[in-house]
Amino acid sequence: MAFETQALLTADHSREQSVEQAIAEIQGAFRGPARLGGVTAVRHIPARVAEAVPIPEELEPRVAQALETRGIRQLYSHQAEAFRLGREGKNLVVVTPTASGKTLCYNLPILDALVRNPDARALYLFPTKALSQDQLTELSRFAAELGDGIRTFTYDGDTPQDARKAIRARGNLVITNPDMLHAGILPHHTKWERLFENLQYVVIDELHYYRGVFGSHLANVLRRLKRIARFYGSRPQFICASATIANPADLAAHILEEDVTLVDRNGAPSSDKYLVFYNPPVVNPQLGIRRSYLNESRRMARTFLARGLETIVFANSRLATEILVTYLKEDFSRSPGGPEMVRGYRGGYLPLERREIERDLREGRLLGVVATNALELGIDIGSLDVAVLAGYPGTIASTWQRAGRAGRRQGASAAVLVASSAPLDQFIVQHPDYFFGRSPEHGFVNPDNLEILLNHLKCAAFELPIEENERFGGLDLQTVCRHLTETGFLHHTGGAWHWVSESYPADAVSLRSVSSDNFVIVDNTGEPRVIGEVDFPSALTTLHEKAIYMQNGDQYHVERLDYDDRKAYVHRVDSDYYTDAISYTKITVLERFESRSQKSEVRSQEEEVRSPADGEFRVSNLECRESRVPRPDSRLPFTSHGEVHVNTQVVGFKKIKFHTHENVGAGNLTLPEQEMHTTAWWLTLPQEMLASLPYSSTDRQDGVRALGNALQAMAILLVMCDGRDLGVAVGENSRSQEPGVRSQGEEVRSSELEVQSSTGSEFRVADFGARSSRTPNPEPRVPFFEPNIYLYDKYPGGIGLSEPLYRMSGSLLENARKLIENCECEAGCPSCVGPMGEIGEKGKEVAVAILRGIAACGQE
Amino acid sequence: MNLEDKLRQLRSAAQKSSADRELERQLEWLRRRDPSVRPLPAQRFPRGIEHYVDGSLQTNHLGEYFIARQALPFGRPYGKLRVGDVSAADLGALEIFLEGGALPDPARLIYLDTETTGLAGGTGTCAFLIGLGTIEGSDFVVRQFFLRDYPEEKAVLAALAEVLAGYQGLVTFNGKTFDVPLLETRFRLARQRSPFGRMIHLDLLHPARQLWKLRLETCRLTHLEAEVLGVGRTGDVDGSAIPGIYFDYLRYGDARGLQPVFYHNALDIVTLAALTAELARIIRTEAASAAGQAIGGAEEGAHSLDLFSLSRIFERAGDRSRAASVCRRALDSGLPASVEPRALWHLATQHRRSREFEQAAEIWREIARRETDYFLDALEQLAIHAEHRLRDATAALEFTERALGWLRSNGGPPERGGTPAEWRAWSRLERRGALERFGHRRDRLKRKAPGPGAALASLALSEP
Repeated sequence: MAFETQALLTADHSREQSVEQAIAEIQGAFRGPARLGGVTAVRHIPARVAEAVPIPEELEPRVAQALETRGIRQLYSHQAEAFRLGREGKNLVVVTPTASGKTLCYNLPILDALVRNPDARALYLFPTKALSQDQLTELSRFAAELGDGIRTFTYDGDTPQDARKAIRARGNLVITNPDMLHAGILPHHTKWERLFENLQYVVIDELHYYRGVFGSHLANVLRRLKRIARFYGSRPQFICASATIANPADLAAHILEEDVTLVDRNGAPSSDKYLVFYNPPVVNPQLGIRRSYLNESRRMARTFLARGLETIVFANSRLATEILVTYLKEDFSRSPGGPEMVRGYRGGYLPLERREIERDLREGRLLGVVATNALELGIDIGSLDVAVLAGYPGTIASTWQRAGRAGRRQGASAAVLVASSAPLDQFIVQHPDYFFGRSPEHGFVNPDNLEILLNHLKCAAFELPIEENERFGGLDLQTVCRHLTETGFLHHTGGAWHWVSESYPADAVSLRSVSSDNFVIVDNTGEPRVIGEVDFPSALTTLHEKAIYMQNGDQYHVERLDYDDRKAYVHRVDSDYYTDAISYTKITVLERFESRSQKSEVRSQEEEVRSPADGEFRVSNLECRESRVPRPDSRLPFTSHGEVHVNTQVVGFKKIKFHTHENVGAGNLTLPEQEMHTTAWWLTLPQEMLASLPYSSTDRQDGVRALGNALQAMAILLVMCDGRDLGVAVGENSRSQEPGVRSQGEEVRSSELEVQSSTGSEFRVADFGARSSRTPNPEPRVPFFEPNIYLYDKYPGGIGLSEPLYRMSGSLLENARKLIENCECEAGCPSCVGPMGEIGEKGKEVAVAILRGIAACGQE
Repeated sequence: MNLEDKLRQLRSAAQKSSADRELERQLEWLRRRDPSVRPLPAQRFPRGIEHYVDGSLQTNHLGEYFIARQALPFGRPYGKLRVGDVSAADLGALEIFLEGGALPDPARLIYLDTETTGLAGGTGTCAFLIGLGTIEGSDFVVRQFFLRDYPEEKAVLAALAEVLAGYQGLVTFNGKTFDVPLLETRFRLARQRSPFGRMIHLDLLHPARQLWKLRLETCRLTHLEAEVLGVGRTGDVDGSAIPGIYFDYLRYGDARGLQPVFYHNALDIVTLAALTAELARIIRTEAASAAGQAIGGAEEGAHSLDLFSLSRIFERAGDRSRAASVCRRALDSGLPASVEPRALWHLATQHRRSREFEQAAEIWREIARRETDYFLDALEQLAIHAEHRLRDATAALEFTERALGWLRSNGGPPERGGTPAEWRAWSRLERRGALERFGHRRDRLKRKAPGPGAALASLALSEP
């Protein structure tokens, strides 16, 4: 079906009416009982007036003049504050909403300094090349007013070779990204002598983006940057900008390892805005099945697009993006030969195509776009009328950023969140107050993750020999450097460690993923050509043989995955299904750092959230090792955190039909097993406590698995990570071992899958997951059952999620209980504890009983 | 352990932060897991190079360094040359490879080649052996600065700069891209002034490639040495093994493996100098004979492929008449069928640029006789020539029709499963829009000369 769009609206007031009409239509769309779905919240955020202050007198007159030329005669209060603090030499983190003029917060003090001293240098870091391009455009406008005092360039992988030399020597404001700084600038610092000798400012925008692995890498890149700056005698000042999270100053302090001043009093105005939460209605209450959120998002988008409102649809995965583009292109088919009205936008598209889409959006030539988070960050695509969020973006901060893409200077705009049935989505859409209240989200980094640190130390040694007494982010390097010497990377001589390898270490380290291995996708349909690249972890799940890989609405059947050469050969197809991979996980506890029974935990209401670098805990960790943490009272449930070994393997896939999303087949795969040493949080449920519950042992096992799913969902919310960063698995303790120290667990992600339990000499055959496991064993099982539910960090070595989780155990368990209790399904659904097919008939009930049992223990 | 040591240990343990201890704990795990980690013998300052290489320790204000020096008398044969040829060479002919500037005479020239800890570039690659070649009296002298260990680098660099200060010109092989930037980085890291800025630098790689690539396919220094100079190396070390040899020496202090590295480097220097002389000789000889003068009489004539390459070098230097005459000689002495059309095309281009259109047209006709490379280009030129210079629209149309006819039967995309070469050829045609261009030309010519003209055109073709 194709919709005729109305003539594009120009008058603000008719646009405003359209927005309101569309919202009314959405509200009226589902007339069933509210608890089953429909609109769960409409928040009207009224327009806000600006808190304006005069242009500071201290501002260099030429900069002030440039502002005036551009029509800026006053500043918002936070801009003036940032300018003042910036001039005082403070390291800053500015936290204000989207479209509040935050770039001026760092541009003002820096332009001021550069105009006064054209020899001074500033380095801007943006997480993506697209953002760098955007900032260049913005700064070039200023530079035009300021004569040749400001020489702005971007320096990244796209910069032509012949321009690079000039940029290195002349540019006094260089815009790049952390990856380029890491692999292209720091290892060649001698060519950047002028920059490093005069480096006065470093700007880090979108700071909240740098959490977890990426943030831990960035912190190390900055350690290297400061080291190089020191060599050339400079000591830069840092100015960061971040979206709203609970601990921006804390995150900045851990990434920069410097004192940081927070600027968060927003003085910018905003226009009228509606925020709508929509929960697709339940269609099968038994199974807790809701209408497909993708179909519902398509419907929402259609409602707005058909009114001629410029709409951006955000999807959470490449797959969902492609599905939605396909749907919306069906709805708004272009006239023959005419331009596309709706397009897709995500990583993997070629840069030129992306620039073209950005421009078309800015100039209003495109009515709709379906994007991944690639468009969430501040790329200038102008202002649109409506943002439809297909699925909760995963964090409150991202949700506001995506919603902020809709918002005109005048008139109303709207953002609609369409919840998927994922637990997190359901929790948010059913608890709007949690969303609209103070941000509970924390960003964490762990720059001292050994794997990350070792990689950056290699790079550091490549850049300059490491002196014996040198410290790296406060760390004493002797032990680590000795290790790198023994592994053949360094050579210790004359009081320093020197790089002694032929390799270029930065090439072996990707800041954004576990490995820098990318799989290249070769389309063999016609003349073979490369159509894209996929990083290693995603490749195993999206490019396995027989997978349907999607790009720009086109489908490709993967014919062969050449694992060793990192290539996937695909062929264009027209398929009515897509594929979803199934993986298998096994966990072994290596060491327990700390344990606490939930008795004491629940009583302390307000948990402290400490950052991973906090010294105090580390001391106790060390003691743990020496004295083997005593297991808490064995009758009570307790939580722990520590080191674990994780084995995962992609073992199969499902074929899922488009539109109906029914399962139409499956296949087995044998991909290499991935091993990882990392950290985990876990909850131990003692045998005594479980035995006291009035359920069969199968039901208890189901309940534990159900609880695991709910805990994972809530943990993701609390530590602000991605589902990909935190894994869940269930295992159990064996009494034949030292209690609680060794255990084995396994997880079955899909009920179709058979998993054979392995026996190790140290481990008992785990009978957990008996339903899917068919290990022949004629003898009756030992009735003993004491499970651990693990939430593990999916980055080797851990990026510091487990310890904060351990500190937040109380609210984790409490919120998990809320999630399950408030869910409308009868016996489990994907939105709370997982679907009944996976967690059994009583799984949900038992999970609640366990959580209540834990709470009761706390009140004894 | 005495009391003092114990106290020191206690104190240093107390200074360690908890993060440090956490790190050590993680490291312990890592090492337990990774069997490849094995303790090294206690580090010691590597020694022993003097046992294997003839050289001496020197001292300057920045410390000690090791230098090897050997002198090769002029009379010593080096392949088909003698060492003395290096000093006698007239290098003026090589100035066509310099962007301005003149090469000093051989005695003011220094040849440089380095052995490094890798090819990665960047700040982490170090030149541990820097070889220099100079002419002193009646010897060619090779000096080699060696880093017995990293702390000596400052002294080595200072000594290197001091030697370089006495010379005006620098000759390297790929030094513009590799050796010089690498050394400049080392100077900067050592906070010393780079001596290269003021020197005239001839990087022999590009001239060598221009002259010999067509014949020899690869232009690695050792390959040129064997093919051009007729030197057979024995006991050489594979270049890619060199960093590993140095690292092993640093780790275990055994200098034995370095002996062939010194030898390799010294040979590279001599070859570099000899190759410079030989290249200059070839260009000078051919330039002279192109101008109708013979030098020396008994000089060996260059290979026909090299002559063609040389012609292109003259073309690049803007010397069209030498380019044409050398190319004609290349053709006369016989070129392989795969190269001949290209040489003809090149020769015609020289004539066209010198506005010698008749000579050019004659060659185009020769190319157009066979359906080889440049066949379409020649037809196009002939059409242009006929239309605009001879004002013979009918003949021009005939050339155009012939090109179109060929394109229609041969210019389509290859069958599915065609070879990559076929695809490339096709996409080149596509890119150049041959079909379209000839189509336009035909339409225009048809308007100009609607009458029959086949007879005239075939006449034009059959003429030698």
